[in-house]
Amino acid sequence: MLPYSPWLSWIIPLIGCVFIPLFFKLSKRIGEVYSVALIFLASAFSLSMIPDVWGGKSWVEKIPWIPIPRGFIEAGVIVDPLSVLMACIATFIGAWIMLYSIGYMAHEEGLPRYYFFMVFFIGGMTGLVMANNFLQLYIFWEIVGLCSYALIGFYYRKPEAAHAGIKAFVTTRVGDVLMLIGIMILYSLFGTFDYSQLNHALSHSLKEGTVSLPLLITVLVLLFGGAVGKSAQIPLHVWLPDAMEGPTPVSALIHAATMVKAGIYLTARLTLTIIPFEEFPPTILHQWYMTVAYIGAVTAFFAATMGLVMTDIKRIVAYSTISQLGLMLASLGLASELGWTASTFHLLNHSLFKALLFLSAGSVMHAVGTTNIDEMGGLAKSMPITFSTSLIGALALAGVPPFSGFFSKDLIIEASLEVGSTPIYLLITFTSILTFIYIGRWIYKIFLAQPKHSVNHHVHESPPVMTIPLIVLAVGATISGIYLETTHGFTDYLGIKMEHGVGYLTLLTSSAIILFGASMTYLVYFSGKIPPERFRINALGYQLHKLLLNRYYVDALYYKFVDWFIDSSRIVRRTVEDGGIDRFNYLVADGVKGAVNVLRNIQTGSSNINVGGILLGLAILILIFLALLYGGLW
Amino acid sequence: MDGVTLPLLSITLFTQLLFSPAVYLSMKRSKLFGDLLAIVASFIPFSITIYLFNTIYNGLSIYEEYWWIPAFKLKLGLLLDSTSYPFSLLISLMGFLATIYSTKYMEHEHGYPTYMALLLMFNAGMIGVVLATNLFLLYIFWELMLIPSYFLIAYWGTGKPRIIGFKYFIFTHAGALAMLFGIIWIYVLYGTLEIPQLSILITSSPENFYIFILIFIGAAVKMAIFPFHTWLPDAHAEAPTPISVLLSGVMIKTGAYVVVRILIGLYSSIMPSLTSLLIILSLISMIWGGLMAMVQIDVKRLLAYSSISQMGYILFGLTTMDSIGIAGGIFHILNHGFAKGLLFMCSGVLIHILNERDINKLGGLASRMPLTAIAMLLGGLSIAGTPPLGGFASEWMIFGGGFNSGLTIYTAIAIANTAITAGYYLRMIRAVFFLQPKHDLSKVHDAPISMAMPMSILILLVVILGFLNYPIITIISRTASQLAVI
Repeated sequence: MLPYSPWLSWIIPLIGCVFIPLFFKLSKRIGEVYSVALIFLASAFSLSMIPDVWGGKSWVEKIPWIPIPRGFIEAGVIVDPLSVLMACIATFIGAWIMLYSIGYMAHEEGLPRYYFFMVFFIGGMTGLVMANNFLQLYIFWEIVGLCSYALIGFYYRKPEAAHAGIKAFVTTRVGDVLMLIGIMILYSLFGTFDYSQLNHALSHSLKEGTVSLPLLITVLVLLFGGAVGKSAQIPLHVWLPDAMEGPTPVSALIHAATMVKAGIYLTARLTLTIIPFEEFPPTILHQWYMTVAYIGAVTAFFAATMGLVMTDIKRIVAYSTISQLGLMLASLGLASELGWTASTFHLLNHSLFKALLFLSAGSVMHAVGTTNIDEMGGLAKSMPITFSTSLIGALALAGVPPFSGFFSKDLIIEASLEVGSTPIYLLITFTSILTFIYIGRWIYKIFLAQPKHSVNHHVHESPPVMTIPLIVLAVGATISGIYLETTHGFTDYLGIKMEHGVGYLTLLTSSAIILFGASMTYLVYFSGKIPPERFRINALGYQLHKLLLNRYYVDALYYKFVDWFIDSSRIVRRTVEDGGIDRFNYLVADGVKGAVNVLRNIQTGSSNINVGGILLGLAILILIFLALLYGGLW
Repeated sequence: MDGVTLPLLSITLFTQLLFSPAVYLSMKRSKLFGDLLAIVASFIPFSITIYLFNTIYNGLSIYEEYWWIPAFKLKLGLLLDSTSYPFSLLISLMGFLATIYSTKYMEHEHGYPTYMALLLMFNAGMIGVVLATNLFLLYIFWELMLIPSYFLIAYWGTGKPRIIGFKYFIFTHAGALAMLFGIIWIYVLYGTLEIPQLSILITSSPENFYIFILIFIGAAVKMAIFPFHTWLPDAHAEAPTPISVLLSGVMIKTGAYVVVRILIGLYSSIMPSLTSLLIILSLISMIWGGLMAMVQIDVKRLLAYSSISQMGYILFGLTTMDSIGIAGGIFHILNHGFAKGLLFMCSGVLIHILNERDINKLGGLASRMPLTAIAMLLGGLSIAGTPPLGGFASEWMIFGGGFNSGLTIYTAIAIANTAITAGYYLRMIRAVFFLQPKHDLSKVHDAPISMAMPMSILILLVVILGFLNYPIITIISRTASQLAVI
């Protein structure tokens, strides 16, 4: 390990990003090189931690941070296989995406802003996964959300982009609010944010019975709410497809490889460190695990169905991301060691092949200048490198051996069979079939279909600064699965001793998925025997297609709600605030004015009336005096 | 010290009052000289406050005492301790920055010398409130800050300044009278108004319950707690911008100071019986302010409603009576002061450069005004409690206090409300700085240096207070653990 790696891997980008605008002042090239170099440096620190945690070793480093009235809150880092894995994904994949950006963003305005937020993001993401307490985690959690907001809205003049940024920020904020409530309840129950202290306090209080189980499950569900927002799960999934308004490297880095994984990381961290399996058998937290598993599996399925009908090159991949994140959560929710391993393994593989797919999509968009896949086609010849890397990414996503997705998806299916949860198993299986079909459609329409327009004639391959990262990621997506599977590298790394011979039922399922998926894709797209239009002829198919195109009307419902909310605020403002409370002030003022106007009639200035008034007053005073003196007159 | 002990607190308090006529007179001769004099006058209290940081940090406090009216046993006592230090830091810094800001923003206004003189008096009045050890003296300074601010709103304001100034005066004066009534009642009961003595004498008798209510009304009007809030959107939106900075950033916090010093400090026995009422009032304020801010189209009015909402958070934190909650409430006073001051300064830049404050008529300004755009984004996000900015550092403590004192549901509502806060700030930022510009922006430039300088200082504070807040939280925590009952 390089010295102070657990700290420097995120402090270097966080501090380094401040100087990016200065370097861009010197020259654009220096600024770009500086930004990319920062991330490569950070990734060297991250990667250097791998040998130290190999085999499941872990340790924690802390320093005092905030002096609160009772003691200190400590800042710290947790170094274990999970955090190092995530840190490596964020910095190492991040570094290649940064390199790709140099080519992709070459002609854009506002580059200092772009590189600042990218580097800031990578620092924040690494800090998030290295944090050893919830307060620090939440701070970085929001930092990455902020960077996501700023980068989605990078083309801020474009109304859709400005809108999508806000949508992402506010939607994830809903999840964050739940999560913050959960964190603060944990803090007030146990007086600490620290993971390991929370773990001790939890096990202690569960043994003593000082904390009721329903409360604990509520808190865990609240914490999981943050994961639902960040990882774009139902019902907070609406922001991720719109987030594709950002530049493509942003989509690859933030909305595929890293930030959306924060929710998975949080759930994995909860089940690994805070509620470990050994001490708390999953049965006592059964409801919570089931919530996680079902939200994940249902999201996986529905997102995949929407991916089938989209026409935007990036949105299809975005729905695929939502779907794959759902698979990982479903696997975590199975509450088994195998499920946990499968989920983190899939997380690693997915980061590689999804970043690859996005960068390939960016390469295509860079070349053809459109995002609609119906307007593309036949690009395989003019963009051979992009085509082959896309194909590798697609095969890995679809789960075709020997590419990486196959191995981790197999493990997920195996885990669902091991636990014996039939609905989860079925949802995962159907999702995988749909995955095969939509990514096959994607490949076909972009690279193989007959071109519809002449736009594609002048298309040429992207420059090396873009294709090299593609090749690196493609190599990763090819070998990561097979290498780590055959050598048991991944389980050794995690320090998990288990013999997961994949059962015959799993093999049968994967074969069925591939067979069915491949034949459907072939029939519908490649050979055209059953053209996709045929599904829309009957009323049911037509309605279903419309339902999918409109994303199950969830977005529309949310927009209605927000509009209603703002409209009713407007009405409240007009009637209650201005018409009621404030009007009342003026009414009081007018009332006083009116009363004074009546009273001023007395002020006639005539001395007869004045003297009369004095006498009358005097008489009343004397009467009161007498009454008091000879009390009892009343 | 080198043997000579200066009466530092008196200097802090009276410099600006004494300089005020001098600034007025010299401004008539030369604007530059007058400006310099005003800036120096407002810098002295700030530099003294910074100078005294170590003393306060080490747990000491500074006390000065003079005879004032011996016949009534009235003393002029000034105290700077860990409770008044954060307030005095906020007031002196924001006063200093607002003075610098005014030199450019107000330069072409009529009656500029008078404006500057009144501004200095206003600053001095606010510092007086937090330094006074005597309730009567506190009341005097309470009114001393009201009168100059009334003239500042009524003569240099926009819209219908006379009516709005009058409304502001009547509202806060009514509150001040309620407070005065309470103070006199205290004098009748105990024969003294010295806060340290009262802290021993006051019990939870029925009279004290009514006194508590009276003083709370005074503080609540100043803090613009629902339903005493209607003066604030008018006054803060129509005041000249540097005064909005001081009103929203600083002056309404003197109400919070009264809550901390008197209601929590002296009446901690009565406070718990009213917790649920105060919590509900603060919740209504934060939600109401948020909803109203969401539908505003005037930048300054939006910011004003946001202040109502945030004062709700501050009152919430203080009312929890938990040490972390109180610390969060006091720290949020600082964070909100800096962030809201910054936001008003940004709105001032829009008014100064574009002469426009309707968010629907602005747009696409981010590239022409990068500093203002960054400042507004950071200020808004800080107030919405987004880490790593200052606002989060105080809001989580407020929420922690809420959960610690068992107000689970209320705190959950308060946390949920931060989503509304984020929503209306982002909506405003999108409308002002993003999208396609609606006018020709080629002649638009960013804030001039004397406006950009105070803004940059506040940007730094908004960011740094989020994670490097060790020294100031040490001071605040000391107060909070003294005050907390839990």
